[in-house]
Amino acid sequence: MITSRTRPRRATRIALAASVAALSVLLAACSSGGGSSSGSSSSASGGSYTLGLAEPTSTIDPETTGDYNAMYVVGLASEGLISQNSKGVLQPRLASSWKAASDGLSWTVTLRKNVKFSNGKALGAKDVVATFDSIAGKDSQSPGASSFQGILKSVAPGSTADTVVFSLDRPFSDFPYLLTGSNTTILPASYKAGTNWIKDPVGAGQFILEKYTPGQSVTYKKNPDYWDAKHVKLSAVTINFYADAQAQLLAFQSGEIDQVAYSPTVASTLKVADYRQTTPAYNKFDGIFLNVKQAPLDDVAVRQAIALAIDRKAIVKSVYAGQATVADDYLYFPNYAVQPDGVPQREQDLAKVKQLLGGKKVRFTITTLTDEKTLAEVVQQQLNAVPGFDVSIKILTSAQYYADGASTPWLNAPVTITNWAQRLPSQYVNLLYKTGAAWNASKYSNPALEKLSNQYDEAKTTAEKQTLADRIATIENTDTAVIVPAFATGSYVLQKTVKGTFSGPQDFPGGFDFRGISNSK
Amino acid sequence: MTTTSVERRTVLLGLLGRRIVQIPVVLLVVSILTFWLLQVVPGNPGRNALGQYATVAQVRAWNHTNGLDGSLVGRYLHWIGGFFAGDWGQSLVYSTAVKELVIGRLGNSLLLGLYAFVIMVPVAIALGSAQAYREGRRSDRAITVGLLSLSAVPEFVVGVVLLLVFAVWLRVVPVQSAADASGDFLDRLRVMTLPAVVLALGYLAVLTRMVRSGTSEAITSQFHRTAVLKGLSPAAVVRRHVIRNALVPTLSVLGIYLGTLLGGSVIVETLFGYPGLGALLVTAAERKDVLLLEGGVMITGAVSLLALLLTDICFVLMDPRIRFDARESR
Repeated sequence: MITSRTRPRRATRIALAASVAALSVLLAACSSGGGSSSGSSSSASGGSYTLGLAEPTSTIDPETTGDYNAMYVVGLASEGLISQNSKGVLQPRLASSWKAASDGLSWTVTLRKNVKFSNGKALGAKDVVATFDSIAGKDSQSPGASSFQGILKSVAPGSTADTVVFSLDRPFSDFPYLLTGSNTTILPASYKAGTNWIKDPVGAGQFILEKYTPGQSVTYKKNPDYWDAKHVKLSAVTINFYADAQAQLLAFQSGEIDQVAYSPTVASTLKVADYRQTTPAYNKFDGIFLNVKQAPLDDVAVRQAIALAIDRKAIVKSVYAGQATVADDYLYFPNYAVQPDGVPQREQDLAKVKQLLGGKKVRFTITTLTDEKTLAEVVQQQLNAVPGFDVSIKILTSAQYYADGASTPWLNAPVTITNWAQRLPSQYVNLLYKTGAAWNASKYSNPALEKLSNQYDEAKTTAEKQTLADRIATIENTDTAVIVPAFATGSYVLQKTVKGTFSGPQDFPGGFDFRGISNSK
Repeated sequence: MTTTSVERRTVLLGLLGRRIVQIPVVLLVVSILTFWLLQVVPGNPGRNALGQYATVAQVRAWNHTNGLDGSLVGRYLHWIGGFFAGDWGQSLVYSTAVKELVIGRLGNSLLLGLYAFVIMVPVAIALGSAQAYREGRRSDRAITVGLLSLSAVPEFVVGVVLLLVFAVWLRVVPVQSAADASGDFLDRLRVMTLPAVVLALGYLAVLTRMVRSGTSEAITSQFHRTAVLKGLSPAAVVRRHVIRNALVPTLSVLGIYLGTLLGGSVIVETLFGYPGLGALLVTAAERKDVLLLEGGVMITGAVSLLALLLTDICFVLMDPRIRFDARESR
């Protein structure tokens, strides 16, 4: 029965529904082609692919890109010598093979034959030499230069036209991994560092950058001259820039983009089983750096107590939505070829914490940036729940946290949380643990560790490496200058129309490899 | 020529003369303040460009290469000289000419602002007038409560709800409203509809109240009664006597709104991924892209000041009683 009370409500509902319907019809009528404006159709068999990213915050230049989004933009249009697959195994890209000299002091890399840049010019040894001279040179502004410091002495053409010789300062058995690092895609020898690459985006990647619209999108078409073009099925790729992860999720739900990065929000919003998902690949760790020179953290027992007071499994579940592996306090990613043996996995042990603290009251502040806020809050809650700890947190913007100057917070605050992309174990020693290293936020110093790390770099046999890795991990774990709660993995949720399997992670080491991927949208 | 029209022309010329002097001075002060203030906020453009893994020496070298390490005064004078010569410099963030970027985004903001304006003004006039003629009745109260409730909801909430309905469920618009400027106009209009509606809703309640109040005052005045009694048709009464008088207070608000709408709305542009000037300026400020910020601020400032000037001119044309302070002080 319709009463006088229900009538206005019903009328309101009808009016609301009519408004929505009218606006929908109007919008649909305005549509020239229907559907999303951003997804470009394609006549090619592989279709086109649209993905969402945040707007790059760094320069868009293969040599100087410093953030993930800019790396993605340049990574589709350029390519390096070697990449890594999802399991961290090296894959030949522009290089067909690589070999160390018997003394380990040089590596000869053989290039693929008949490789061309997107402008049609041949890619040869001189381009590789020029690229690495520019990255690792004295006046380099490339963030990738740090990977080669103290390792790469010079680069020169080899004895044949298709070889390049990398001469090293010291033997480095993992050198090929450095060639998968950031900023190492090959550019023409004529490219001048600091020029505006985006205006003339030449590269030897799977796609050709057609149009960059600042703050909005980048469009690519397939590179017909790519060395393995027959396996690149997609005819076009579009990157749309969105304000945040929420907007990307909405765009994925609406079908506007074909993939969205897996995250706790995505996991709780989507029924992931209804979609496809890429193989998770390790990509970073969020380290808790303890300044070993400042009280109360100058006491190793206090540092170990902190490491034993946190619940790593809970962190993996709540902070990473399960997209991470519980870690111990040494820096060997689980997909690295050599895994330390004999170091027991640290787990929350409150009895041991009590014993280590010995009634001491430990008070400190965790300083970090907004991206690490969730981890900082969880660690704070976990520690404050344990008698003896009084922990506060200080969250800064990225600009404040990474501010330049002698007192920059990320390298000077007593306790910091900073994320680091995946690197080699000895790179972490050189960058984070070495005495006086530029990014040694812990102010840690241990010549024995540095010596072992150098020996590790020189080691030729796996057995030798294993022994050294065990000793290095034991020192890092015991001294606890850096707490590593977890090694994070990254993966993408894909629309069901996406066919094929990504061979590697969608990042710089993975080489943004779209071979074998098609889209029936 | 009548005395009234001569007076009106004198007032207009005086107004234009004063504004021609005032506008450049205001813009100059704004540009100096912007240049200086950007140095105060934390952050380093070189660090932003190269990321956390670049060394301090590399950051310094990048700043030097991009002309960011000289004295503040020297850099400002270099910029202002270039600006007046037509060279607005290169955006550090977007690696694109500032002029091209700002003018392009200004066009987008103007289009969105005008679209929102076109939606908002007729609706506000219709609703406000209807309320005034039905003052005190249930429909008057319902419209007031409805509009005030709507204006109390933040733009991003309304926007997200509209996105969920029209982009995710009905799929008639994209989540990202960045349609190609060179594309089909109707398609462009389609993707702009949601941001324009959200922008319009933000101002609709106040504007409707202004129209309602102005109309209500006009229809209870002596001249309205006289017009009715002398036998004018209701349409003529409204057109000649009500609208003209009712809209005078509304015009001042419209002028401010027009300037704001044309300058871009950060929240709406960010929410819908619309490439307007507002979001561009926020990015420029966050990343310390001084040339881009200066170019954008100058253009936004000029647009806002011109919108105010336009409003003042409309005031004079609509209401001969308005004389502005210079004349009043004689």
